Amino acid sequence: MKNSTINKKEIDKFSKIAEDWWNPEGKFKPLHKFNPTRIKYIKDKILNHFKILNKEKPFKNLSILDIGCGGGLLSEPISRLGANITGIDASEKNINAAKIHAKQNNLKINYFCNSPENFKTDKKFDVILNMEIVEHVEDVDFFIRKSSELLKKNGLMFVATLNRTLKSYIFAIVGAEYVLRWLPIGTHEWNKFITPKELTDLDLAREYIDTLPSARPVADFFGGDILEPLFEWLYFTADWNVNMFGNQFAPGIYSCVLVWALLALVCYFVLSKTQAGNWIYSTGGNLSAAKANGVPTNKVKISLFIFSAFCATLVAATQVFEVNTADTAKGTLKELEAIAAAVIGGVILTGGFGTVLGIVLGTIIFGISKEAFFYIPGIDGSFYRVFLGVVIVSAALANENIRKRIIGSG
Amino acid sequence: MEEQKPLIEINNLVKRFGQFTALNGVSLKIYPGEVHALLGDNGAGKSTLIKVLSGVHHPSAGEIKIEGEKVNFLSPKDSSEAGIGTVYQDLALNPLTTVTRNFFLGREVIKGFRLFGLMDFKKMNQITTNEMAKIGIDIKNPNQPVGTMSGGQRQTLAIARAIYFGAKILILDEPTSALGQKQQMEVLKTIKKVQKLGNIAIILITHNEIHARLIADRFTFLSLGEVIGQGEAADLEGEDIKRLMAGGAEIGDLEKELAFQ
Repeated sequence: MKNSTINKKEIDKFSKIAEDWWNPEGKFKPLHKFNPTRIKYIKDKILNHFKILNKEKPFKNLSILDIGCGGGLLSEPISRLGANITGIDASEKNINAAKIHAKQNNLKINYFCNSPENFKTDKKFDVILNMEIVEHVEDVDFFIRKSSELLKKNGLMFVATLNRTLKSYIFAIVGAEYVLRWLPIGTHEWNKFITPKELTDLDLAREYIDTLPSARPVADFFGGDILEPLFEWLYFTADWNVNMFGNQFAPGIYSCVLVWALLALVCYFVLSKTQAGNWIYSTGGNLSAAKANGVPTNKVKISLFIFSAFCATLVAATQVFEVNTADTAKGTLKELEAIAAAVIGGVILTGGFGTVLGIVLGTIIFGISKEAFFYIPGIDGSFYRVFLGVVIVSAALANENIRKRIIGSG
Repeated sequence: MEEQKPLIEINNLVKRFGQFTALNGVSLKIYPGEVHALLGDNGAGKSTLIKVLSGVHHPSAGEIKIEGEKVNFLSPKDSSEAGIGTVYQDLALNPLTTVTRNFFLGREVIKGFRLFGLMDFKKMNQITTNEMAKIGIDIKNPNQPVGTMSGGQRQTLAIARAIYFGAKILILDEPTSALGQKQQMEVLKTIKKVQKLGNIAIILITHNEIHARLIADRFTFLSLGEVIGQGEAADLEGEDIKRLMAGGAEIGDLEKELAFQ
């Protein structure tokens, strides 16, 4: 049993960059960006939990403890909402930075350099904030237990952390630390991230825990936007991505694009580099030849049918997680669109010839053409179906010709 | 030649399909390094014989011995594992993909896992080029689609593939039909090259007596499921071949019949 939540290495890491806390363009830029979102979430939850109606100073009479307060990025706005706030942090430098800033802004906040297991207080708190802290502590179970002891009965504890998913690895570690260099390399250790399930599985903590809505790995992967930080950068820094009113034009790219790109990559790899790919091509190109050479053509065909059903499921998942409703008619005509995109990309209808890159380009061309029909004045948008039909019929007519051209006259 | 052991020996092979007898006691001996021409009219039983040898059909009676050992084929796979490589007329090629992909179709060289492991294209290209060169075709680019190759080159590809994957007995089903003159010659040259390798026995099924005379060491004539003539190339006269090709004794009968008209 450990009796400390302090991880010396983590403390040193943050002490080094402490003077940068309040620089919106500095090391803590992502936190500054994220701050309004989490404050709104915390505020909504607290108002709901304590049934507060006071709009002026909603947190009046609430005592709140901010654990791992850092430079006070969260403590100060909470204080402005009227709360009686206490901030503790294990780094002396962080506390000093926080004290100085609070003084400059004339805010009354009690800052202590301390950790929850050593913090002595005569009264407990209504709300405890453990925001982006559990991934930096030594013993999470112990930390949550000690924090809980500081909470009043019927109090509210927030625990926010980075979920340990592939996405968080790509964006928080690779993206933010290595590629964009927003954070010094090593700020976060992915294997210290905690999943919502691990957090709720901590027995003592269970009843206090309320996790942030962003902790939904499946929904996050299929729905919502990706590359938001890039689009933010394009908007704030590069001054692109601006619409005619000067607002941000697009917040990001639909997540389904990421799913599509990953899938295309996998298909490209399998089809052009692997044995399975050769079998697929030959089963389509010359069934009897494939059979004669020992390719299990029936298994190939069945597997491909299963795979296309799997792809249809992926499409359904992206649709459902994007709009939060299931529309059974959503897939209507999609099968024809898939054929059209493939033939535009150079796949021949009788099989055995085509590339994934071709299909990717075909899909983009078809998608753009489909959208374009909505902007042609005087005709209805669903006229793209005429285009769809024309593409498929001409592909069918040209098929034998193209095939002959590929295989030569011999 | 007689002191040599036959690579494949067929004794009294019979194949019946219900009431119909397709092969009625056929016997053959084929030696390594030899081209054995199998001639006969349509319906003579050539195709049935090949299908029995390649394991598609099961013989009704008789035996097949490979290198002196009796074999019993239950499937085409058994036959090819025993060393019989059959090159059918359609060649079992996929014209839409590359020479290399066709050469290794179903038996790809892979690094890592089966099925989803990477194909070793460098090695496969090299083997393809080498094996094709051994029997006389220099392909410049093993990544060209088979569709761009001539009929003769395709035939060579199919033969090279069969040999590389262990065929000791090569059955060529009408390799020169459906080809232009020049390409026919190309294929005959290829067969000659395979013959010169010395360790492979070739069964050449053909309609074309001229081609057979050019490269075959030994002939067997089939008619209505029976062997009606057999011999070494040197012993057979051109007239004999023509007569036997046309169905043997029957042509004599017909001559007589026609004379009385």
